[in-house]
Amino acid sequence: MCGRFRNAPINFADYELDSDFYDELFNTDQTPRRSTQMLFDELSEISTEEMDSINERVSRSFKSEGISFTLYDDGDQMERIIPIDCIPRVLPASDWEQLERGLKQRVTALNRFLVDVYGEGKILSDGVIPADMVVGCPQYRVEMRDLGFPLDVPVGICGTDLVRTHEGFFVLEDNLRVPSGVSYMIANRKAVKTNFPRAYRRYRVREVEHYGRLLYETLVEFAPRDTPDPCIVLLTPGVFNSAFYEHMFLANEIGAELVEGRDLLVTDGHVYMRTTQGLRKVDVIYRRVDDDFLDPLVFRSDSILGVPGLMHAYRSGNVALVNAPGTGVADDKSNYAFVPDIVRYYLGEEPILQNVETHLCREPEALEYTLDNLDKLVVKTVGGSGGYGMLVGPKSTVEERNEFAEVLRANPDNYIAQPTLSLSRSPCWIDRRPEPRCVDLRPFILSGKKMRLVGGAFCRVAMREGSLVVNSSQGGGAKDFWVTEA
Amino acid sequence: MLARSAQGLYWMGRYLERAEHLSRLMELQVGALVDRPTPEIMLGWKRIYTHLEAQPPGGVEAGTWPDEDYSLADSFTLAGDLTFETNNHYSIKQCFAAGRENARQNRHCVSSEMWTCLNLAYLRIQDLNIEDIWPQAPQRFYAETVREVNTILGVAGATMYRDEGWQFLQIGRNVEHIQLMTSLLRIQSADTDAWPRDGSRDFEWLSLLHSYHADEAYQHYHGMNIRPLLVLNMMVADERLPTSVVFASEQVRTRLQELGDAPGKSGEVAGRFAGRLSSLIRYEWPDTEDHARMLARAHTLAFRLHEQISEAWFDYEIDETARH
Repeated sequence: MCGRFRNAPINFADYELDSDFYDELFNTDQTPRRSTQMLFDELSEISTEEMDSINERVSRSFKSEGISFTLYDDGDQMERIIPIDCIPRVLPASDWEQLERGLKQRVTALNRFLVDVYGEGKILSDGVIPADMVVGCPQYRVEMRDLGFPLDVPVGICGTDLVRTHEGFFVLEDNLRVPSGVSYMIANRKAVKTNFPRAYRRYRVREVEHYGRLLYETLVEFAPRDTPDPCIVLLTPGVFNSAFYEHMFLANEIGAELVEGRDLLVTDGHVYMRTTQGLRKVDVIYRRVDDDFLDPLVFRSDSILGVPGLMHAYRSGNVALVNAPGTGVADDKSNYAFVPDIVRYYLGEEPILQNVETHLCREPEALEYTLDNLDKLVVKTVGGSGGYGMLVGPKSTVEERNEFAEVLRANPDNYIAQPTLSLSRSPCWIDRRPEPRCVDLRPFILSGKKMRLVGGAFCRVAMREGSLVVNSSQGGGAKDFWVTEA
Repeated sequence: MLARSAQGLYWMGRYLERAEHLSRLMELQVGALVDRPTPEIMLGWKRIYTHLEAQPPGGVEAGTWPDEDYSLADSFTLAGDLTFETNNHYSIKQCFAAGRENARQNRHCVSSEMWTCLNLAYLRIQDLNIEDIWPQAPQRFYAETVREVNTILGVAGATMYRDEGWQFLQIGRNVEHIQLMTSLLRIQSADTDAWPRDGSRDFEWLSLLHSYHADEAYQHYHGMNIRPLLVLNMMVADERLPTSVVFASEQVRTRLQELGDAPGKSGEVAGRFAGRLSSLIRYEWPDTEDHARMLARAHTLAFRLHEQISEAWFDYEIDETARH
């Protein structure tokens, strides 16, 4: 008899390591890493049948609880269950703490940057970053100039994408507008942890389930009036939004009403929501609606998702918006290249987290380099997200590259290029065996009067073999991520 | 609570009630296919469509059906239409979809246990169509669906916090029940007047009692003899029967009282309508001889009550509203 079951244990003999990719479970000689040994031991005692059963149980729990995202295909709306892999990814607490320091440093600097570029603009006048690049960025909101930000913190909630290679962790991008995925982090944990009880207990895995409490504490700090029980709402674009499940989940976690624009109105410079008891004054809006749609009187006039007059209430200091409008200028991919300089400029420190080498195609030399090396680079639109509008050079055809080169030449300011990173790989249970798949990591950093993080992150998985794209809208999945004390 | 959430829970209650009600009737109707003569089967279909104020496929207007025979193949089509047709807002599948969508948009207002229960029921019916249930005792499917709705509501009762969300869920359920039952009973009692006096059709009342869990109570208090008027009185005015019209109207009246003042002016009007509905059944019903007319009045009152509730709590005018 071997392990918990009489059936044969799962077999890692056919698990293929590729020297280009850092493997999260194994050393290059196919022995488990010191930090993953306990997980490997537990996996080695589980039979193939039991792993199938665990995987099915986990997926079924997502289905029965309706943990979904919305996809659009030819205009049709489809509710999809996010694919979840049951084998957790492990990171020792010492490594995590280094990441945590780096994330706090980075977000602090980005908040200082935003306060500056919407205020005095010292970083621009000092020539650290090209002023035309910042104020010419579509995400730069002139409406926010000289308004100031509550607590001097424009970004209350940040989701930073990290990837790992043999050279260590890199920041792939900062999501400073309406980052999503934290609900899946918690759902993954609830679904997975009971399936590996021995390793979970022995590892002393850090908790993530208290994220809602930390989020609530953060949002309360933004309340514009001194009240022990401020009215917080979560503003969603509605049920058709791809992240609607998350909006509902978070509203529930923080005990807030989940409102749409039509539930709110502005009178006398205050925001009210329509309740069954009449109109109730709103203090803090955790908004998951993009800037463009927040207020049709200020931004896009055709928006039906926002609230007419919302910016007037914000300017009057009667309501806080978290995140503040205009934060997108700091997560624009052109600006990304300057984040190490931003850290040095505001904090006088060397960045703890590395950036990926980035070529700004707005610069002629960089454009030439990019065009010459399209087959090796990943080219992204500066304001894009969700993996859309990008070219992954090594995966592209000659025709696709030629087509993309035309677009690039026509509007180089709109693109950046980066080397194709070999994202680290982690074993996933696919077709009844463990197979390596690329993963990334999105920790969520909360900033108010102080900074808060849970010991965990949303771990995304490129479920297709050979794929580097982890976005759920493009076939990506998720897995639980354990920060381990032992 | 948010007015839109309250409205969502109200409609969730209505859709679940509608799914349960139609499943009960379908269980009876497909049961009748086994041993009842074709004209009675046709009459059964006609009654279902007429009381839903719906049209059967093919565009025949409700209430004007020709008297030709309907074969079992037609029953297959009609059952499919009433159960799985997603273009029909009244089909059981669509009621589950709409009820689940209201719950999905307001998951923070319902218990997670209730949501999971409803979601699983929705997923089950989503994967089915009439071809799946028809060959093997379709009655079982409808009985199972009734049980599922009962389970959802039972789980809601056991797990939901008794706040406004709960009240609106209950109000929605009961308003829908009143509307559907008064409509059904009005048509059935009108039909009964045309039946032969030999009691050969009394089983239909017995079936109705059985379907609404009232047969045992009836037999206990009134004996084995099925008397249509007694059955009708029980289904309408028996305050001890949880599926009676008066029981549902009392529920609405009590819930509205517990909700207290509404932000819209119609709140008081809604309360008066609920009171009037209860009074109508308690004090006028016993003396009436024109039951169909009385049921029509109750049906209209229930509809007006729905309008007043919407205006009072969901779509109220802003100008008249207190701010806090």
